[in-house]
Amino acid sequence: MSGPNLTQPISGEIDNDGKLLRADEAFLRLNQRAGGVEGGAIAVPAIAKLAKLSLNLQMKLSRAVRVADNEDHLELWIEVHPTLQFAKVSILSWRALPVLNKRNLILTSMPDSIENQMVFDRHGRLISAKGIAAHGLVPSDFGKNGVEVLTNIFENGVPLANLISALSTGVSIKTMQIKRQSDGRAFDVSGDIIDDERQAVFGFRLRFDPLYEKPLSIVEANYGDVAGNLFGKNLAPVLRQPLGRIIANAETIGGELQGPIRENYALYARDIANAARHLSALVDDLGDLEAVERIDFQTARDTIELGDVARRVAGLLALKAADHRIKINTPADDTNVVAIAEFRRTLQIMLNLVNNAIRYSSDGTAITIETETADKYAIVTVSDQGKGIFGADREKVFQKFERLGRSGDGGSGLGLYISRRLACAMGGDLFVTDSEGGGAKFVLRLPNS
Amino acid sequence: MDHGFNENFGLSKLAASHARDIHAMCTDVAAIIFPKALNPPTDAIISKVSTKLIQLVSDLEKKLIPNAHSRMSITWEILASSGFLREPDLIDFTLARVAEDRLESCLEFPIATFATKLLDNSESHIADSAQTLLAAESLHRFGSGNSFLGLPPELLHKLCWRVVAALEIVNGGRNPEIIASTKFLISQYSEADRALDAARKIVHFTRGVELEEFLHPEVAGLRLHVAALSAHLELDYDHVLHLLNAQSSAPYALMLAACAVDKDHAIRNMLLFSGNRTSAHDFGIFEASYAEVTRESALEEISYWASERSQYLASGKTI
Repeated sequence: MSGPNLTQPISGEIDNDGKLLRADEAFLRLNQRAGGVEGGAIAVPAIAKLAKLSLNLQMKLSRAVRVADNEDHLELWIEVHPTLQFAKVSILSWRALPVLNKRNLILTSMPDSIENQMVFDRHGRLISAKGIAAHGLVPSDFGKNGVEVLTNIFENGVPLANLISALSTGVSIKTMQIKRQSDGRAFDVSGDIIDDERQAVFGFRLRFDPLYEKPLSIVEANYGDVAGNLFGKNLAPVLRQPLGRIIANAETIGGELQGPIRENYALYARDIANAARHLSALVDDLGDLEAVERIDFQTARDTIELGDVARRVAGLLALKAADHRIKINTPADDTNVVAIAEFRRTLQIMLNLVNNAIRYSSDGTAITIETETADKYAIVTVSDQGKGIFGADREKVFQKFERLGRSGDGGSGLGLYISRRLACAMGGDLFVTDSEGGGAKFVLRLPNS
Repeated sequence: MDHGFNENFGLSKLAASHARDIHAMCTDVAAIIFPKALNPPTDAIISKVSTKLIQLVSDLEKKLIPNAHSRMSITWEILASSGFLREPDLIDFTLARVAEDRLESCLEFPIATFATKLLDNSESHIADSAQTLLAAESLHRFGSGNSFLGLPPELLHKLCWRVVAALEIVNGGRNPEIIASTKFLISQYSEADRALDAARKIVHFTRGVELEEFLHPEVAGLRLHVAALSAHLELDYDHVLHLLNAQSSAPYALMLAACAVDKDHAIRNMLLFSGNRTSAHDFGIFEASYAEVTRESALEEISYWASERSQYLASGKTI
């Protein structure tokens, strides 16, 4: 229903006790649909509230109010003029609002805290998939019979039969192991019914917990999980808060927002802001470091196109590069170098490489990002026209906190270390070689199947 | 010679007020050392909010007191010590105005050029509201002495009568002229004349959320953009302003996702308002996650924000 802008307002009068004293016919119909009776109290809560407020304040009000019954959700534009005895309410227009399907909303969002899951409606159709449970699904799978979808994804056997039976009969199942056909990956899977606050069944949910696999995990080393998520989850937020405050206040002083100050003081303030920004970036890096050093750290297996990632990175860092008159050359739009790796982590590595290239290149030079496929790997390279990295330093740069003697440039010495570990965790590698132009060339290799 | 001693303000009262001050001191120190906000207010924000509050009270006094001469507010101290000026709804309103100022400064043409076009609209409500919007924006930007015209009715009503009460304390009695001018001011006020209500009305009458222009702040202007988001997401106007002005552009990104705005469009809007405040790291997260956010999940998350806000503001309601 699309409501009209009324040529003549629909009006009514409501007294201090909320009684509808007089009303146009359309107003009366609206009131009756809300359960009101002629000569009785106004039954539309939003209008009653507005009229009461106007009478209490003795002020003219003009607002959009929303009313709903089983059939329609409407937004009315209402003006209220108070007198001492009653409020004159005029409805100037109404328009129908799209009704959200709350049932679907609950089904798709209720299990939000669960990372890897599939959700089916009460008819057993797939309506949502998250995390690694979404891997390999195509748009046409959604809305399809769940039994068919599960059969296409998982290996035949007793676990699949049990899973299908549970989904079909709507009975919860305890954890069992199942393997995916496409990559042989194993999961612990459990299923339960989703119901609403009225205990009505909405659907069925399957939770997937990936089992630890050697090829996707990072090298097992002396990195224990003694501190758990001490830094990333506990300390990092605590540190970000005061750092944010330092940056904001230093910028306030440096920007001379409260009036002019001595020039060197303004410069000191900008130094403080830059130093705090550096610390803030270090906090981010340490959070990432803690994550990648966990034994159970794993990455998702998305199908990504490296040229696309390169162009996004160039877009994100375009302003920074322009500040230094550096040109970023990216692969052509029609490239198709596909890798199987986590999109976000690949983006993080690429951002780090291009950021470094901008930081250590001379103004007015160029950075080139190229992609290619070689055997089982998809390769992306970042070449700059800087001083390059020589001999033994080429391994040293990937060590933790290694800065090759540099300081004061905003780096933490962790970016390349984290990037290489991320690349390894995705089944690839990251190394540096010479660029043809004389600078450094970082090579990121990722599996393509 | 006055030694600060009289019947009403003896040693006991002086001692008691300073004794109680210890607790207030503890609360204040705790708030400074352990701020609740992820991004605590800077000195610049505190200064701007204070200035706007003083301006509000002072403008209102000048309207209420016939032949007022003083440039300084005479009720400020009483209102401040009574605790009224620290009530959540008033602080929220003032902070929203500070946010509005910053966000407007990000736009090349703060005056809504789109609103100017709407002046010729054949629908009279739209044309009238466009005129009201332009007028209110001008008053807000260039007018002086009218800062209280931006207050919502509940807050203006409350502030008016509290200023009157404070004036009675200062003057030592009731002044019928002040009462009359207060009633006159209240009776003349119309919510429809506020810029944000005019913008919201335009959005309603133009079926606003369907109009692509409203989602482009550089075209629609800040108020129509905010009003459209407010209508579509069922958030109040000032809430949208706070979210747009947040240190992180993530809330804005989620709001745009809930409006089904495509990613390129979203990133342009975010850059417009957050500029250099957003790091490449954060943009990386946005780049990787934006497409995964469904409209429904964004709307649902945002509905929680609305309910949290109404609970917070309810603590400041006295009407």
